Amino acid sequence: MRFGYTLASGLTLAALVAGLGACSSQHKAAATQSAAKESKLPQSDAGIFSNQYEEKQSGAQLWAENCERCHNLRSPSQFNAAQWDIIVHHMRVIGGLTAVEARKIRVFLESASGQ
Amino acid sequence: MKPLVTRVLATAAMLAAAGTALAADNASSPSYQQLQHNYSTLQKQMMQMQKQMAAMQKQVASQQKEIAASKSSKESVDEKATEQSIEDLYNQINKQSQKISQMEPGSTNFLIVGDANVTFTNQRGTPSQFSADVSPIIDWQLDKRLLLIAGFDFFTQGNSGDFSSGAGDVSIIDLSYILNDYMTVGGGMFPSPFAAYNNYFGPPWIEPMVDAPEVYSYLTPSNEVGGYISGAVPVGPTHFNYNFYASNGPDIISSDQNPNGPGSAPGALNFGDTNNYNNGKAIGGRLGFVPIPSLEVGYSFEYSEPVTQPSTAIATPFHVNAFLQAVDFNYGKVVKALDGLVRARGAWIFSSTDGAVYPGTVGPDPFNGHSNGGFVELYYQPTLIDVPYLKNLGYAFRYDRVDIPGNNPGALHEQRYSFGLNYWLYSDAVIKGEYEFDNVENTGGNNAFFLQFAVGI
Ligand code: HEC
Repeated sequence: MRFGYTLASGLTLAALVAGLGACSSQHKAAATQSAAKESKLPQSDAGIFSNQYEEKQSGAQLWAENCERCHNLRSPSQFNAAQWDIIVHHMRVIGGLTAVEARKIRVFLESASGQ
Repeated sequence: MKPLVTRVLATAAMLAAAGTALAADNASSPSYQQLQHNYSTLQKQMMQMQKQMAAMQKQVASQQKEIAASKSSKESVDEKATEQSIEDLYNQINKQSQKISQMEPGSTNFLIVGDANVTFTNQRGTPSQFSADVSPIIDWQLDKRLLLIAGFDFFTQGNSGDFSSGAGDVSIIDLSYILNDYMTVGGGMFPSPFAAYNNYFGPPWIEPMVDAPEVYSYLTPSNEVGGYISGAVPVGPTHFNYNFYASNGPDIISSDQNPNGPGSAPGALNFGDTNNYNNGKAIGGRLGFVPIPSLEVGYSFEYSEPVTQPSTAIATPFHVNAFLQAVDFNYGKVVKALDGLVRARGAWIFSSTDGAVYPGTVGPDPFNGHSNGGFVELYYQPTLIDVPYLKNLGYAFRYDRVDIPGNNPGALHEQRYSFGLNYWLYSDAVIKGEYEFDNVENTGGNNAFFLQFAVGI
């Protein structure tokens, strides 16, 4: 029982920390707002963990490298831009992609879909 | 205006006449003085009139100015109104085109995905059979941050697809909200992240083998009903991802109704019960690390306090502590040097439940559950070679095993070697063949052959 409580309180603490992270990222939101206009998914807040490695890579590269890990790559033309928006949201939630990866891959797929 | 001009002209004419008279007559004469008087009067009148005229001109000018000003302001108002209405029109057109594009099937915030398969199974000890399964999944993007995933599973039961005989169920109800770049909160019923098989490789167009490793039938949860926080955090060129959940958790089998089935004998954890017997929830999660984009390694745990199922032999239900742990890895990449796609994945699961006495059962008292099992799988497909057909053909190998200890009814020591062929028609449509050598301690084992046609939707 005690072990369960320790874990539960650990989780609560993690949630609190993340909550604080969410609040602090609100401040930065204004600065990135203009950039956010071109993006449909929640914009990267260029937060504490953001780094130049991800920023440097192109959407096409991130797509080719990350989306092949679990299953075959699906052709960009298989879905239209609106559908890719939903699929990348789906993959971000279930596949553990970072926000920047998801945003860049989505932008790439939307333009490469040709629709 | 007209009378003024007439008056001016008349005055000018009089002045001219007077001037002429002046020139003609002598200046000192009385008529001259009279004339001079008249002249000065006239001059005064004229000056007055000039003043009046200037004032009138001024007035007219200012009136004209006013008119012009009001005219121009009216014009700019008109211009603004025109711009506004053009913008309105644009907006309307945009709205309409958005509506139209939303009417296109599947292009809205709503998408049907999922998978389907037709499978033939021939396993020693059981009659061979065909079966079919379709799992539509609705990805419902309620908002850029809010996603509802609703999954259904419909399958055949023998020769029937009758729902009343249990041929369908809800497989996923996952409502999630992206809180920020690093965290998503969600809940419902979702494939368990524990040991990264059910949530990563479950669909038949993702997993090269037809059947799942045996360990996932016995030692792990396949779904969680609960809530979670998940996310990913980049660190340099690598990233971490996590999913921590609290869920209803398993119960523990205590009845002596089914003493002989491995994984369903007393002392075994039961993850799929339709009842929830106690307040003790399972707390678990998985922490993943992606050092390079093509590789992910993970550690999972789940702690729970499963209570015994209602049983005639056990008057007062009791609970035990159960702790599951797993490590897993997953690699997938087209390797140029090898001319093709290479996949390697695996996981090992360790399950530990407290010792307990399960009255009425055959076997050691107390029963102590330290089980483990796992799999390693390799896949290669020469996608880069220029030979038609051959480049669509992939080769798979898997080793998997389960060890459930003791001389008790639920004990199991099983190893399997599976060999598979995948022929890909498209990137999401595959025909799979698999032969499985099965080796169960003491009983031999039941080799199996599978043939499957599977698609991702
Ligand atoms: C961690 C493993 C994993 C990664 C990484 C991953 N996927 Fe998936 N993908 C899945 C799983 C599992 C499914 C099946 C989802 C289901 O059936 O619930 C899926 C399904 C899909 C589908 C079918 C439609 C759908 O929404 O189910 C598409 C298309 C897709 N993925 C594209 C991508 C793209 C693009 C990327 C890279 C951004 C990607 N995947 C990365 C595991 C992954």
